[in-house]
Parts: sequence; C-alpha cells; structure tokens
Amino acid sequence: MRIKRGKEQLVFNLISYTTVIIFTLLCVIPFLLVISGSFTDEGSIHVDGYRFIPKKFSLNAYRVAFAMPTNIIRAYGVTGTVTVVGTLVGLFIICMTAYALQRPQFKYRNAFALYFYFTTLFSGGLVPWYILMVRYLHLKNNYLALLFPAMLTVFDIIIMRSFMKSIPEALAESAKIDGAGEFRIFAQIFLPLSKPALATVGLFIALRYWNDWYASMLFITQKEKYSLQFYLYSMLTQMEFAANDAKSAGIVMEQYPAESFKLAMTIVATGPILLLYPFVQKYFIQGMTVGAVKG
Amino acid sequence: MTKYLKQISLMLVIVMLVTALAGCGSPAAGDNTAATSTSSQTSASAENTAPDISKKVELKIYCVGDASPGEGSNMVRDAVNQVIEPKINATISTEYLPWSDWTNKYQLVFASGEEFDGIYTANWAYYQAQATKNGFKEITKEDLQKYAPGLLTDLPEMAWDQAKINGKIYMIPTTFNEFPTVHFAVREDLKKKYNVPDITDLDTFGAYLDAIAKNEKGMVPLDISVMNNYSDLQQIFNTENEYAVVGNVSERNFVYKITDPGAAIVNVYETPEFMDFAKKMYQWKQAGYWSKNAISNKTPNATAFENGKSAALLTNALQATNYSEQWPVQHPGWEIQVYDSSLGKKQIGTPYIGSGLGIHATSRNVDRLLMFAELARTDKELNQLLCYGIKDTHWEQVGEDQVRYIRGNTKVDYTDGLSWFFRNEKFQLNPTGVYSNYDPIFETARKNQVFHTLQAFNFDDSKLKNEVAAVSSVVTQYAVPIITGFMDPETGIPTLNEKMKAAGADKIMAAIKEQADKFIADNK
Amino acid sequence: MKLIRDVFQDFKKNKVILFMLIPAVLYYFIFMYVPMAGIVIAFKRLDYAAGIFGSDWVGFDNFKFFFMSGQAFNVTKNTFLYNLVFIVVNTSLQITVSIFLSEMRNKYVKKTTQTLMLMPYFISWVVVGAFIYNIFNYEFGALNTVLKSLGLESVDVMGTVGAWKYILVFFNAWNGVGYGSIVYMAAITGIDKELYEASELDGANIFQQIWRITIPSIKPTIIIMILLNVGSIFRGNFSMFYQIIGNNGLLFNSTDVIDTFVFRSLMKTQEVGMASAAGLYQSVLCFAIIMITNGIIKRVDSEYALF
Repeated sequence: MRIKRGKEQLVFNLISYTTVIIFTLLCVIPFLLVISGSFTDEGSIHVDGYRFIPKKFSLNAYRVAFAMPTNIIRAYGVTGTVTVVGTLVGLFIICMTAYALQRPQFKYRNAFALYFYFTTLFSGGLVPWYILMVRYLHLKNNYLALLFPAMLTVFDIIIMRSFMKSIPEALAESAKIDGAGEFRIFAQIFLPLSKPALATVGLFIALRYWNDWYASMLFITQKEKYSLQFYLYSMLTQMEFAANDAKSAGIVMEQYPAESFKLAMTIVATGPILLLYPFVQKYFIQGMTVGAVKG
Repeated sequence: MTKYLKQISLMLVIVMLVTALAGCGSPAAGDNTAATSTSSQTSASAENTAPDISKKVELKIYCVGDASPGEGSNMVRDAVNQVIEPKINATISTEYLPWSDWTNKYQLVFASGEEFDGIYTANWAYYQAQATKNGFKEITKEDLQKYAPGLLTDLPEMAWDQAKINGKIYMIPTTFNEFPTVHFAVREDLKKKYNVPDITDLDTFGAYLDAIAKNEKGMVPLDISVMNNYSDLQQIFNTENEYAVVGNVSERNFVYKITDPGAAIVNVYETPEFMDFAKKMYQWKQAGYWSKNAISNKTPNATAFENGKSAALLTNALQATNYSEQWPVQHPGWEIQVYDSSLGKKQIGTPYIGSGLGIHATSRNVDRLLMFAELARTDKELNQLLCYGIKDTHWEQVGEDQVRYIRGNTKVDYTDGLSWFFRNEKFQLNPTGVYSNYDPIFETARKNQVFHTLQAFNFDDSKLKNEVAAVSSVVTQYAVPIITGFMDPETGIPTLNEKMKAAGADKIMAAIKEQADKFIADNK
Repeated sequence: MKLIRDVFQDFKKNKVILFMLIPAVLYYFIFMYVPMAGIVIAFKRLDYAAGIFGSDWVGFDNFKFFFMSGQAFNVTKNTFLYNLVFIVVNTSLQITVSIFLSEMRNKYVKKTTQTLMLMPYFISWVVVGAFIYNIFNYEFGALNTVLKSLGLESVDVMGTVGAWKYILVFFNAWNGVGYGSIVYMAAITGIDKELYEASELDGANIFQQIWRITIPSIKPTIIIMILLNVGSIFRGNFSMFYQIIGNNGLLFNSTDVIDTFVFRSLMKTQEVGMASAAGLYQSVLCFAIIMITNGIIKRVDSEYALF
C-alpha cells in the first residue's frame, strides 16, 4: 500500500524490529528455562539451578503429572468446557451490555456504568460471597461455581464499550432510518465491526477461565470436578507438603519432583491455550476497515 | 398379694430390658422410648445405657491439606468405614481444605454455616480462634463418659487440660511422643574428613560449619531458608535457655522458664541472652555459614541437605530418622549423624493439642463422632490404618515395632492429613534404620523432661487481636532478620523492641502475665 | 418527581436497550451487590453462632491494627507509588510495542513475536520468584557465575535493598506488557486505513503518522485503560509482591504494600473483620481517587469518562 519508503521508514524499522525482538527474547528465554527445568532431575535443579539444557534429564515431573491419565484428561475436559461455554456466554452478555452503555440516546447510560463500576471498588469480601455461593445458591461442587465467577468483569465491559464508541454513530442512524431496531443494529452492524474487540475480550475471558484455580479451590471438593490448574496445583502442594513438612507426620519417602513439577505444570497448562492463540490473533492483524462497510 | 407380685414382675421386666439394652446396644425402635424414659427416671444409671445408634449416619469430616493425589485417601476411607460401620453404624466421609489456601478456607467452612461434623484443629491451626468464635461444640466430660469413655481413660488428664479454652474443652487431643527441641544433623563423612570434633553445643556446631565453609567451596555449610527455618533457630535459643512458649501464643518470644514453677513470663527479645545469641548468628552469617541471600531463599534446609548443597540440617529428632535412612541410599558415601543440641538442659514435651479433632458447632452427630474417635484412638488396627494407611499396601511392619512406608506409586500413595487426627503413641511404630544417636537423644530428653502447670495454659487474646496482629508483623520485619543474622543486633534489637512496644507487646505481656498467674493459682 | 418521570420516559424510550442490560444487571446484583452487605463485618467481631448480622458491633476496632505499628502511611504510599510507576511504565511499553507490532510488514515475525510475548503471562509468580533467586543468588546465581567466569567480582544484587524496586518494576512489565498490548493492538486495528493512505499522499513520514494518526485514534482506549488502572491504585498485586519479596523483612520499608502487610499481620490471628476492614480502607481510597480523576476527565471531555 505504502509507496514511499523514506529514510524515516528505515530508521523506524530498525528501532521497532530491535525493540520487539529484544523484548520477545526476554519473554522467551525464561520460558525456555521453564521447559528445560521441567525435564530436569529434581536434585539437579536444586544443585545446578535452571539451565537451558538439563544437566540431568528426567521425566519424573511429567510422570507425576500424567500418573493418572484419566484424571488429567478429565481435568482438561472440565477446564476446556468451562472455558468455551463461559467465554461464549460471557462475551455475548458483555457485548450487549457494552452496546447499551454507549447508546447516545440512552440518557442514563452513565448511571448504569457507575452501577457496574462501583462493584470493582467495594465488595463484601470473601466470606459473604462464599456464603452466598454455598449456602444460598447451593453451588458447591456444581460446575456453575466454576462458570459464574469469571464470566463478566467490569474491565471487559468498559473496554468493549470504548471500542464500540469508536464505531461511527452514522451507521446506526442510517440503519434506523431503514427501520432496524436496536437489537438488529447491535447484531448486524456493531458486532461484525467489533471483531478485534471481540477477539481481545474473548481472549481475556478465555485466559481467565483457563488459568482459574481459585473457584475450584473454594467450591469444588470432588476431585473429578477439579479444573486443570487446580488439579495440578493440588498435586503440587500435596507433594511439597509431603516432601518438606513430613516432620509432624513422621513420613519417610523418596524425593518428590516438586520443583520440576512446578515448571512442568506451566507447560502442561499453557500448551493448549498457546496453540489456540494464533487463531484468535488474525483478528488483530487483519483488522476491519470501517470504510469497507460504509461503502 | 397378686397386686404386689405384678409390681415386682413389672420392675423385673424393666430392669431386664435396661440391662439387655446396655448389653447388645441395638434396640428396636419400640424399645428405644422405653430406654430413654427409664434413663430419665434414674439419672444415675444413664451412663450405663447404651446410646441409640439405630439410625445410620455419615460423619462428615474436614481434613487440613490436600487429599492424596491418587486413590490413597479413598482406599483408606473405605477401609475405615468397613471397620466402623458394623460397630457404630456410621461411616465417615472426608473433605479437604487444600494447602493452597487452607487458612482462608478453614474459616469459610465455619462462617458459611455448612453442615459438617468434625474438623481437624490444632494450636497452629486456629484452635483458640475458632473456639472463642463459637466454631466448635464444647466436649463435655459427661458426653465423653457416655459415648467415649475409652477416650477419657486413654488420654492423660494433662491433654484434656491443655485443650481447655476458658475452662471448656473443644477438641480431642492426640498423644505423640515428641519434643520440640531442634537438633543438628550433619554429614558425618565430611565431619570425619576435616577432623572436626564431636558436636556438643552451638560452638562445636559452629566449628563444623566453619570447616565446611573453608574447605567445601561448592557447598553452603547450613543452607537455610529464613522463611522456613527461622523458627528452628529460635527454638535452639529457647532450648538453650530452658524456655517454652507460653499459652500457645503465636509468636515464640513470649516464654516462661520451664524450671521455675512460679513462671515469670519473659519477652526473650529483651533479654541479654538473646543479644548474645543474635550476635553469634550475626557472626555466623558474616562468616558465610549460610547464604548471603538466605532471607530470600524458599528452598527449605532439608531439601538443600538432601541434595548435597547444605552440609548441615536443623531438624527435630524424629524427623531426622526420615533422612538418615533414605539419603545415604540416594547418595552412596554419605553418612548422616544427628547431634543432641539440648546440652543436658531440661526439656518439655510438645503440646497434646498440636493435632486433634474438633466437633463443629452445628453437628447433629456428636455421639457417633465421639464413638468414632474412641474407636480410632483405642483400636490398634483402626488407629494404624488411619495413621499409616492400609497394611502391606501403604506400609509394612518390620520386626516388632517398626514401620516402613511403601511409596512412589502416585496412584495409591496415602499422604494426607487424615493421618493426624488420632495419633496415639501407644500404637506408634518406630521408623526403620535410625541413626545411632536416635536412642540417646530420646533417652536424654525423657530423662530431662519436666512438666509445668503452664503447659496446659491457653492465652486468650480475643481482646488483643489488634496488638497480636501488629506484633506479628513486627516480628517478621525485625525479629526474623535478627535471629538469622541479617541485621546487626547492636542496632537491630533496640529498634525491634521499640517497634514491639509501639505495636503493643507490653499490653500482650501484661495480659499473658495476668492470665497465667490466675491459671497457676487456679490449678494449684 | 421530575427526575422519576424523566427516568421513566428515558427507559420507556429505550426498552430494547434496557432489556439488553438485564443479564449483566442481574449478574452484578446477585454476585456483587447482595454479598456487599457483608461489608458490615469490618465493624463486627464475627461469631459463628450469631452469624454475620448477629455478631457484636465493635466500631472501628478492626481498623486499629493497621495503624498501630506505624506502617500504615508507609505501605499506603508504597502501594500508590508502585502502582503509579507500573501504570506509567506498562502503559508506555504496551503502546510502544503495539505500535511497533502493528507497523510490522513481515507477517511471520509479527505473529510469532506477538505470541511469544504472551508467554510470561502464563508463568506464575511462584516460578518467577524461583527464577529471581536462581539468577541473582550471590553464591550460585547465574549472574555471578557468569561474572566469575569473566574474572569479575561477584555482586550481591539480592542483598542490595535499592535493587528490588527495579526488579519489581521490571518483572511486572515483563509479565504484563505482552498481555496488555493486545488491547492496543485491537484498537490500532480498528483505525480507518484510509487515514493513513491520505496522510501518505500528503507526504507524512511514519513518525508523523504515528504521532498524528495512531496515537490520537487510540487515545480513548489509552485513557480508559489508565482510568481502569487508577481505580485500583491502592490495591497491591499480592501474589507478585509476596512471591518475589516473600518474608524478607529487610526490604519491607521499600517494598511492603497494603496487601502483603495485611496478609502478614493477620496470618496468625485469622480475624475476618480485620481483613475486611483493611479491604474497606483500600476501597474508600480507590473510590476517592477514581471519583476525582473521573470528575476531572468528565470536565475536560465527557466522552472519555468511565461513568
């Protein structure tokens, strides 16, 4: 598209590529250490530290992680399902809310924005929330307890609203003249034009679900309903406990690969979602041109 | 005359009925009312009446910690249920408060009004806090007499006394033969290599560390993690001075002298002995006995020792048995010895309330829970099942009284907190392959063991929560770096004491003194 | 009266819009506003038998611990300043990175670098804490191993109190820049391409384009993101501070934030009321600052305001 490639462009490219590449390296190197560490013998990690190439190779951490294949597959299943369902439902509600909050003819939109935003400032805290979820909503050991907490955040609603605000109001006006109702304007004009935002917010929701262990910790006591992160987490804490604090129990055992498991956990949990990322990514790269729709 | 006979026969029938009930303990529904009515009439014989267990119940019990990774927990639970169901017509179901956030979840299960029967509790697991907030049901001697007389006789009076909060019992304590004394585990092979004399006290231990610091460049003599090991150093100081923590206060600096029956309460940070100890630690740290960055280290001393990074380990005598057998197998050429750090000083046993079972305030099955607790504590096989797991699956017996764990199969390993509820030293098995100083250390400890009235004292801090919180924060910020040699005591200790005062340490001291004096007077 | 009629008319006019708001309104009502009543715990001593509402009132007693040790001002200041620096550093890095990425012509490099930048987000702070110890440890750390092999003096980074500020800022940026830049990437993608084409015809170079088109176009997003961050400026990132600093008392004067301080104080007493009180303290401060900031922004340009 750009015809002229001046000196400035060259300087710019030099700066941008170097910066981005250096920053990327800073991000990747620790991850490489994590990968290598996860394949290192437990003793060697403690003695030799993290290295790019394991000094003493060992699969023990993964052996522990996959010791019970059915359990971990089930945990992947729980997290995967919750992530997909939660993201879709959450994204839809967020979009509707964000759309409503930016309609200029809706006078009290800011009052509603404050209604949502206020909850990020004040909250009853853990105890009342837990009581609500467990005693009144009876969500203990219920998958809904994994679904609800991460579904909507005010942060997402506001980001989405600010994206939708940038869509020219003229589009809505002309659709209205054509007789389209609010919901149709939302579904047929605003949603398609918000693809980068949908991808962004959708990704945020999905990551939130994928990385969540706290809801499992609080509300799930049946092992078969554990989310992936919590399943791994509970294995780790159990191992750390057994390894370090056997004092009171008088337990004898071999060295558990607690440290390398911590690293393997990262890999086991990150892998799938990171592979998914490129599919979402294309929406930030291709982008949408408003003009194309306008014309 | 016939009228008289009729009355006698009626009496006889009632008596027979009562004895029959007491004997077999499974009355039919109809007889049940008769039993209760008689017992209410003759209250003296109530204790002999067998409790009603006709209705099958499930006892829901919360354990602290994660369940075993595999099926271990369920296997043990099922095995336990097989034993107890025919006896008390009850089964247990277990839930876990995961390590990842157990402190929060522990209070959540109380606050939410969830229904459950039993929960793990201990002096380190908020026993006092939950008891004073009405989280537990009081366990009365009458209830124990009625449902679990075996517990009353099996646990020493001292254990029940220790469990008392404001005069009421809220937990069933455990007995476990241990002392809090922290000893020195060293690599005997290295000690011999550098001709270091036997370790008898802190200075000779220091000589060993010095030899390592000078000769073993690849090692850290005592690779501690301040976070995990500062309490060990504090304990060494307390043992050296014959101090014991008073009233199960969460900070270890409020102590009493175990040899003094009058028990003056001391804040150790204000004593000259503490200054001397801190100076020594400061020197040790300067000399490189532990890492310059030990204060940021998160790897526990034991892990570093296990992997050959540390040449010494601070450990209690029993825990050391785990290491002394296992690690020389992993590392051929190693020899591990543990040296007594008690210097012939008087010692006091660990409190009985270091582990126990609390009954939830809303439990409807107090009777059955107590029966279960009695069985679990007094039935040898059940007790060992709970403590060690299934015999020959999770552990095997070696000789008369030794246990060897079978571990390494994540699918069945039994490693969860269910094992701590009912520990009973009577049925406790000894670890195999103990180090040669094991017996002498325990002999010395038992020989020098003293008992003190204040062992059973629990400090009630409910009116001083703010002060306790403030002090707790000061201790981490100042006392911990001082004990571990990261702050020059000459300037650090005055600052510490100043901050402690500001945080209300004097108020806490005064309250402890007042309560302790009263306790001693009441228990004369 | 007039207000009610006004609201009613507005609602009547926007029935569909109200209908679209219902799910979120309900969600926040049930999961946030209902438990919000529990704020009263901050003024009570919780008694399980009596329940939250039946427990005894203790006035402001639960707030005392926070001010008693003389640390309240210091930790509040630390929390505020760290977050301020985090906002400035992260926002500028995120914007820079997203502009650089969006200007990249090489699709392959662009996609790969963007994916890789997200990786730190997946590494938990526990692992980061271990990393830091592994890199900077005086005796065996990677840094000193390298220095020693080059014949240089070892440096005790971890023992230098002043170094930790930078470590915290660095790792916070490291963790959040890739993730945070996604929002700006999306915002840049939404800019009308015709604007660039037109400016090129006018002879604008790339720097001018960025300055005159890109940044002004994503300004609303930048302001919103900053506002959102300002709204939680008195809340410290607990897991980051706790996993990196841990219980290192030597550093507390310069690294302790409200959340770590409260955690440490209450670890042993487990008082729900006191935790709740500390949370309320943070809420009030955040509320005040966001009301002021939002008010100012509203006065300048109401389009950018949060509410």
